[in-house]
Amino acid sequence: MSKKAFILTLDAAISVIILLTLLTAANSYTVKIEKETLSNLQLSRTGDDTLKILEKRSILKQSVQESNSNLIKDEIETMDLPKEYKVIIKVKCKNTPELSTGIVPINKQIITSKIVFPVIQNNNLQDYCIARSYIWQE
Amino acid sequence: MARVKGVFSTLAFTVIGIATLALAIMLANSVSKPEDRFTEVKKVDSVKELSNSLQETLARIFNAESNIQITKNSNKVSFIETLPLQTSLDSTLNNFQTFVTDEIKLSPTVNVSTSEITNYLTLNINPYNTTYKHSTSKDSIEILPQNSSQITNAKFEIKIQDIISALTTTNTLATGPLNLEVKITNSSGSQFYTFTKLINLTEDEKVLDIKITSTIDNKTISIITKNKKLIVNASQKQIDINTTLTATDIIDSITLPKNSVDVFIPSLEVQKSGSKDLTDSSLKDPTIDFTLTAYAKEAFEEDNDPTWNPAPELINEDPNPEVFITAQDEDVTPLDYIIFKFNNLLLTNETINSVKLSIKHKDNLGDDGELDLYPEKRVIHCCPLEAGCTPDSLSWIKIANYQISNSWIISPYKLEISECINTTALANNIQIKMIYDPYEPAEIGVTKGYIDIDYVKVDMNK
Repeated sequence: MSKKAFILTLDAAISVIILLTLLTAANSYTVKIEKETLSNLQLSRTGDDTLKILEKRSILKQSVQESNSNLIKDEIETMDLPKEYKVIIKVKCKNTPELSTGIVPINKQIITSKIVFPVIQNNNLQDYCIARSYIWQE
Repeated sequence: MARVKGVFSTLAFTVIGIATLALAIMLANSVSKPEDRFTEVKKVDSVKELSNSLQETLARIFNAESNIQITKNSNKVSFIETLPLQTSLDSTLNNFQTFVTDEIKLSPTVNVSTSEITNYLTLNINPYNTTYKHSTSKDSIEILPQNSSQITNAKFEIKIQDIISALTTTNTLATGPLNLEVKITNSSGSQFYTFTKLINLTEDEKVLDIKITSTIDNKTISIITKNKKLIVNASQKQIDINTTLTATDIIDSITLPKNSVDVFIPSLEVQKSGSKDLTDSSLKDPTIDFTLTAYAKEAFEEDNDPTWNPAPELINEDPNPEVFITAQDEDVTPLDYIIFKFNNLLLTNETINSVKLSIKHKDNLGDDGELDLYPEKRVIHCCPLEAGCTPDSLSWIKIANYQISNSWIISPYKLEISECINTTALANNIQIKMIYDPYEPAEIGVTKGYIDIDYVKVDMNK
């Protein structure tokens, strides 16, 4: 009788261990996915913010006026972004040639953002453009 | 007993099976939902950022291209413009709309609606639900308060520049006095206010100021600039209108129609539309204001005697100058004058905000000691031509009369001449003519008094 009780207890204990193991595994997987989501969101918002900063500092406008994408590159370098973050900016305007700070890789998960901005000098509208950011983690 | 054990075992296995299944489902959900959530959050972010940038771009294009100057201060807002309004906003916004639609084809859906702006240049005064709009031909304005008790007063200052020029374009009213009419009508078209003035087509009547303060107790007030008497040629700048509206409380913002920008994702039922405050200083073109001072580099009398060239004395700002320039009234011609030519400021494409002229002078009353009471004998003129004006040209614009004085005087103090000097080309070649003839009557061949000038300078804010 006591042997049977022992076997039953052991059976229950093993079941509980298996259950706990499964729960732990499931939870760790869920946490990992949440982290990835947050990371993507942070990456995306970094792309948005980069565009806004470039626009507010008139770097996008200046780059269009001078047809010089290096101004954007230099400004991004001063932003102190995480080293694993890589950003490419492309600017397409109505009247001026397209600008790009690099080539967007094809084998990465790329997150894009876009804003529209005018090029105005001394209260004269010269052009209007769409700037797109392409951001990814290395 | 064995049956009880069997049931117990079956139950135990069933519970474990259900738990495992539940875990599997949880895992499956955990894998898919965060990715969906990120996608959704990203799309909402995109709608917000794109909508904000489109609204800002539209507001900045409007501020740069509309030729309407809007000033908001507490519970007052002023709109200053020239009617018929000449603006390139129509074509610019149509092209902008096409550009945005072509470039943003995929999600989110972007709808830039510019018809209300291009057709009527409609502006909303918030939070009073009041609109300031134009006729399609842009030669009249309308103010439509939805709740008349909230916008208490409207003040209109109407300035008609160069009436003679406006009238002569009709080829029928070139000369003679006539009645000018400016009408304000209410929404039903009935007359609300009429201003009439008999105009003599003389030099002194070139600028007409009408100041009207009116209570808005009707739904619509229109200022009609086309009337029987004054046909405004759309190719000319003719009528400046400064409209000031007073509200019962703080005016929050002046915006373009709220449906001008609409960014949405139908599948997520996410939408953002709206319009930015046009008076927000961050949406105006940042300009660096600074002041330049130009001094007369060359000055000469009408008969070139004396000729002051160069004339360093002109820049002496000593309050009691010992060195100065004297121009004598020699009575050779009915009116004597001095022309001052200023140095080239080398401006390129800057926008000139203000040009202020100051002249420091005193007049010698001569032996007779009588002041000349004729204002046309002490007039300051400005040359409005980029190529310059010949001394006796009719192109000179009268700026103001200056005050005669036998002691040093800066007269007229800080005279605004930006109506004459309004381009960089003109600012680079400023010419001022100062008429003087201290005494009356003149006697041929006899020197009668003189004018001493210490400096003539122009302060320019750009």
